[in-house]
Amino acid sequence: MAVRAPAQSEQRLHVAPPPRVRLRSWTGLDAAVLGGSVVTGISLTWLIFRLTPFSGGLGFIGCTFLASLTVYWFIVRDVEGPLAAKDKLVTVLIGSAAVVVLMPLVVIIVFVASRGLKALRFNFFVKTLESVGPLDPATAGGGMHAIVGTLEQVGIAFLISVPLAILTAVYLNEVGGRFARPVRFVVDAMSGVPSIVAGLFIYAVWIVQLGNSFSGMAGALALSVLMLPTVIRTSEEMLRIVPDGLREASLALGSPEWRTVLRVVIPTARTGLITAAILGVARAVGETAPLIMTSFGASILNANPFSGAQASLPTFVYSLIRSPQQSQIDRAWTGAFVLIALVLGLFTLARILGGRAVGGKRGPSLASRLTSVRRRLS
Amino acid sequence: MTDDPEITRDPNPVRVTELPPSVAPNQALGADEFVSEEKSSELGLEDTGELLDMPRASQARVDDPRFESRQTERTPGVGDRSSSASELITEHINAWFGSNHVLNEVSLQMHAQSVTALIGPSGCGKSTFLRILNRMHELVPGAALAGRVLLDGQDVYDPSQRPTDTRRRIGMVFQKPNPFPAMSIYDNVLAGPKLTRTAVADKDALVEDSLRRAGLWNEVRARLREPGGALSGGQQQRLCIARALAIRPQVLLMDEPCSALDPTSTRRIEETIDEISYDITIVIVTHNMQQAQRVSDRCAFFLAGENEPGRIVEEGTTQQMFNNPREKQTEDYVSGRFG
Repeated sequence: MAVRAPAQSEQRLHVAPPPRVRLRSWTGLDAAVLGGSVVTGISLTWLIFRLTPFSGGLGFIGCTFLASLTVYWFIVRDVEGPLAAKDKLVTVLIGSAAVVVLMPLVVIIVFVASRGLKALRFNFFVKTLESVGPLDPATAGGGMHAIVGTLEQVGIAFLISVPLAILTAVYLNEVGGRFARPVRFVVDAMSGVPSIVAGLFIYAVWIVQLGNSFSGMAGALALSVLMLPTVIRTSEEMLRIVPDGLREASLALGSPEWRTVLRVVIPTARTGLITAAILGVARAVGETAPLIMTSFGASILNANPFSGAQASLPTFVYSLIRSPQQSQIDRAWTGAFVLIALVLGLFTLARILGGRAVGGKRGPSLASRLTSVRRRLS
Repeated sequence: MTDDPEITRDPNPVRVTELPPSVAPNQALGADEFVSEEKSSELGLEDTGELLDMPRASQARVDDPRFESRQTERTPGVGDRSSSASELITEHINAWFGSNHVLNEVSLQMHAQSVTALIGPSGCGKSTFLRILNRMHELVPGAALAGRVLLDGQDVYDPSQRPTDTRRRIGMVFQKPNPFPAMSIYDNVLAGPKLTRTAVADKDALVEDSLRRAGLWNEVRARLREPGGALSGGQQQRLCIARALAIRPQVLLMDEPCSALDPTSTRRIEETIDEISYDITIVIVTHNMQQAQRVSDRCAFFLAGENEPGRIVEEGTTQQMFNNPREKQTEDYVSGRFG
């Protein structure tokens, strides 16, 4: 072995690797066949629509799709045989399904962006609606108060619900016992609570009964009620997929159970738990109904979440979009766009934090990734 | 081998009775010196078929650069190993899962500084017995037991004994390699001290020492910060052994540690067992008769009849169990006629 090893590496250095066979690659010919099929399908449908009383945009798309697929299937069957035809037909079908599913998302983002970018200026992030009059253009003023409010309310809701939810998930999955079933039942029931009811609950208890004012805190409490079940159930699933072998290994080292959970189970499920927290934030950040009765909304900046009405992006959008003035409506769209961007930014941040590799080091560094790409290209 | 060779407090208490006479004196001097040129070259080859049938003592310690030298293994200031092994005795162990009686009156003595192999067909309670020894059995819902497990004369099931202490003193290696995926190789080795809140004076030395003893140091020394899950199966299992060794257990239980591994890794782990058995009592469950023959000093043959709990049919030195078993069932099993 010791003798053979250098010989092997020498061989690797001097002999060029054999050309790689890519068994399932997508060649130019394939693309041409698919493209040709689509063109044929469009032409065929156009012909049908001209010669028959068929009409309508949706019908045209549907007919084109069917016609293209049929033509594609015939061509591939002729060229490559029936098995390949079946395979490629299904590939195209599944690919189209993915596109159809992705479509609403893309449409929403493009639509909101096209409306929202119109009035988006830098001052949206630093100004409020405090001194904005009805005749001011949409680019005047901004939604800084709403951004601050959303960040504070969702932040507080996050701090309340995520630790509580992970503890509950640990209880359900790691501790168990007689109360696990009823707790799980309550959590399931909670996930069915309509968001307006969560708002009403906090309004009735926190504001009316306990005599607190409208505040960002009240809104955060209502959001926590909504976040809890989502985060609990997702975290529980994430803890469940941690292999039992790891728990046993840790216990066999003499670790107490709580430290096993803290040092082994939770770190192993870390990425999943971050996903759970993200899902919870996603659930909460766009909620409007529970905030109407709790944080109420405002057009001036109130950075203190513990006292007084506070704006947030959803309530900002909700109140402005109903305005008869076009400038206010444009501002509302800008607010909606900023909300989407904010969520996207938070997700990216969480992904970066969650994707950190073991041992404190980021995964493969950018430099090493570039090297491997370059090696593949050359 | 009727009496214990380990009463001679030799730093390398080799089972003298099993050694060819010409090898024995060299063994006492130092393990590496006696390896002849042809032996090491023979071991360097990939084909281990011939080696697999060798009795334990004649299996050479490999003097190959890939493997650790037994001299460099000792890191100054990291514990004294020759005294840590303990004797483990079970008395009238019975075990149940719910109403299912799985072990019946198992009494076994596992000598200090020796390797005891538990053999027997599947489902006869070997693993259950192993898990009873370090109180892992009680983690299974519905599990119950009766009897005593004496570690150096102290019953580990005594109410005054904490299960975490017992598990620290009696380490375990599982069938499937299970390094902690969220930890680096380095942190995996240190997981035991960290999880048990044991202060470690020199972490680097402990990591190096444990990895050396598990025979993994040379392969991973340059990438200690990489995740433990990135290693191959055999390396992962040796990492698990290193992790178990890092808390300095007196006894190490191994539940079919090689069942998922290729012959090369298996051989490497058997060498590891051989090396660490000088200062740790080892109990190993195996389905591989050759392995039992190669690594163990004593064997216990477990058997469970249909709807009957498992029990020990026969127990004795490995040599006697394989060459001259008292019971017909043992002979049938070790010669591969059933099971």
